[in-house]
Amino acid sequence: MFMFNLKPYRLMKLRFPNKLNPRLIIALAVLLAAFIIHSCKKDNSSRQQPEVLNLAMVNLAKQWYNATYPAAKANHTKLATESIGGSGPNAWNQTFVPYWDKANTYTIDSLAYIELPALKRGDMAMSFQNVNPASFNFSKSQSLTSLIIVNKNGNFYMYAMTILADSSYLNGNYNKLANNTYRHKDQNFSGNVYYHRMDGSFVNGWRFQNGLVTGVITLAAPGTPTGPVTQGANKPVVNVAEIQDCQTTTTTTYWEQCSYYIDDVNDENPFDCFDYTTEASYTTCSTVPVGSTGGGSSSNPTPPNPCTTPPADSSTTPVQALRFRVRVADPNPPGNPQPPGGIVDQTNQIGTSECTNNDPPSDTTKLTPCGLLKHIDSVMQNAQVASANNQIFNEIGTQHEYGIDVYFASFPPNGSYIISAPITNSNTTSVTTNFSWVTGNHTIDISHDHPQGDGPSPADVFSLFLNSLNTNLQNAGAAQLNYYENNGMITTVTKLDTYIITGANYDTLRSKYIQYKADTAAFNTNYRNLVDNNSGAYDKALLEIFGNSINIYESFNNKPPYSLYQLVNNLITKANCP
Amino acid sequence: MKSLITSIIGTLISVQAMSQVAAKSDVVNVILPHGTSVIEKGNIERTVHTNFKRTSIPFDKENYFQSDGLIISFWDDKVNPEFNRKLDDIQPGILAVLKYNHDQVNFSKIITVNGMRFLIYEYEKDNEVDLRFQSEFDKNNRDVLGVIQFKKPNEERGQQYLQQLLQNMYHKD
Repeated sequence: MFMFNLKPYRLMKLRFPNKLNPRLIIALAVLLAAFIIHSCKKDNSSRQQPEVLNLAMVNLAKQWYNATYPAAKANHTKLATESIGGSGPNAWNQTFVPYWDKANTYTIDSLAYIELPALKRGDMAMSFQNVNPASFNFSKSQSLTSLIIVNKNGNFYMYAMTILADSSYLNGNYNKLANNTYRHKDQNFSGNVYYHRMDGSFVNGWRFQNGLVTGVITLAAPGTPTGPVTQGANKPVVNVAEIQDCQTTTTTTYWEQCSYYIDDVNDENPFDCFDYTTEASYTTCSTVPVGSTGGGSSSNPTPPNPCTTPPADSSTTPVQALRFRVRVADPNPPGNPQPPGGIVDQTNQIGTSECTNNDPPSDTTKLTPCGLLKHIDSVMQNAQVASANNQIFNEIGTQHEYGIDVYFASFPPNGSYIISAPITNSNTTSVTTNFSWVTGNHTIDISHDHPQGDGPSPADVFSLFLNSLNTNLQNAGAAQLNYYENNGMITTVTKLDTYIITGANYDTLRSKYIQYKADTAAFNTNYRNLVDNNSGAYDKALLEIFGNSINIYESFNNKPPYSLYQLVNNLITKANCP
Repeated sequence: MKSLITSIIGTLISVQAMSQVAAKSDVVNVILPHGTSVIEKGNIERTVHTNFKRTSIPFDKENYFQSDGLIISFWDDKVNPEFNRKLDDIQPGILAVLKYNHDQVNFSKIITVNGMRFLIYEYEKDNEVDLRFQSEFDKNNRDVLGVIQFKKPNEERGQQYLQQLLQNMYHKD
């Protein structure tokens, strides 16, 4: 029975092989491949945030937007005209209007993001080329701006994301720009991505090559020459593990301002358009391991820490011309849930979860000079502190000494800082700020400029000591006094350097101060002689006077990273901090 | 007769050579102006304090000289590359420190002598004058700098001496 039953089965199998087996195999293979691909897609998408539109969030954002930017909300009741654009800080929010119907929502770092194409009233495009704005062809611009709205704790923050693609990526196909969104970049995308607030202030930016982030873009410090700079190489520091390749370029933004009739609901009929340009210098840096430089094959450079808040605004140069154009980005292609190259806004603490925070805010123990360097770099990356130093830097041109107090609100500090308004005595060699140690205002740093370029003076060092004698601080208890003595800073900003001095031994500072008060003229003359006898080395002069009772940290571009400098074999030498 | 003349000339040359005061520097070759004599390093502090109420001359350098009321010192300096600055960037800060110290600055300028750039500046206090010079850092991050100290009545002679000194100073490269 068993054998008999097998026989017809065999016969059946033998009846069809010549005709069906190849087709069957192909069909099965196709089905299998489709299954595998589908399974992979499902698996991939299951790791992404759901692509379901969060309509409630979009409606809330729309309400916020209409309340925040009433000028941009169309009011079509009268036949009149309104001018859109202009060179002022409203240029961005007046030029770009969210295309709400094309909103895309997702969640990153537990924050709700809304990505919207930007409808443009007038036009705007960024470019590496600087041409007459009258001849600039917006339809062949290599940039595309979209809008990103982030909801954090119920508050909305809006950014303009401008993708400026390389010609090599576009290869003449300008529609490729729209393939790239906040979360997705084409595999062969090469170009820059800039984030601006709607007041036009720069937030951060990224350099992409072949779809990967390879560099960090910051606004160049005023006066930075364009061109390549390699930092870290060829310095007399042993064990340099990596170098930073930086390139500063000037980017031109072309603007077109138009007038529209108020009843032109969709801004379809612009008139009286004129074009102008603004320029900004950006520095793009990537960190390259030392072994990978010097030609030949090299690994992809890794971007340096983006957790900085760059300074000043771009200059504006209005130029007359005529033209207009509108283009819409489609931000819909699915993307990665944690995209590289996103917004890093220190001011609003958005996208900063991966910023390294070396700040030991409640640490009252004494750090080594190298340990303190990490703390200083962390503090100097804080948006408020960076803003203070930038404001001070920008006052150098006045040839007046300005000062800003940097303070935290309550002890122990939580990493947030507040800054005072700039203060000046309207002279070139001194400024009096308002150190205090009360709830709401614990001064931890005094940033001030030396407009003529001289480095920190003995009086600067002694202000550290004198402020430690503040009655409130003395009465605040050992923990707070220790915190001040271990972390208190005096920042001196000059055209070429920024110096930060901390106290390392307040007992020595006290004895030095007694000498200083006993014969201030002689003390200062000794400092002058040391400066003059050492080719204008202020740091060396101070270290010869104060020895190890102070630490001196310096940056040559007015922002982190700082370096610890010490006196080694009579030479001011960068310490090799791990 | 001929051999006598030759002998006299030879003697004069050797006397002249013996009177040439040697200066130590890895950065420059220098011929010191006539009338310059060496102050031994061990004597410099006493010499200065005997003649002046205060001084800016460092006592740990190699070259100390005097010439008719002038005390002269100069020395080499070296910095790490990140501190290799142009004199134009150094000058304002130097002047700011002088101002901060309430020194009376008589002049400050950058000059070029024998292809070398120098910052020269003069300040005084209590009728005592410091006339300083500092060369541009070279490609090896080295410079030469110095000071001539004198009393106010010797100011013209001091400035002439500096002019001669710099005119006889040549970079070694």
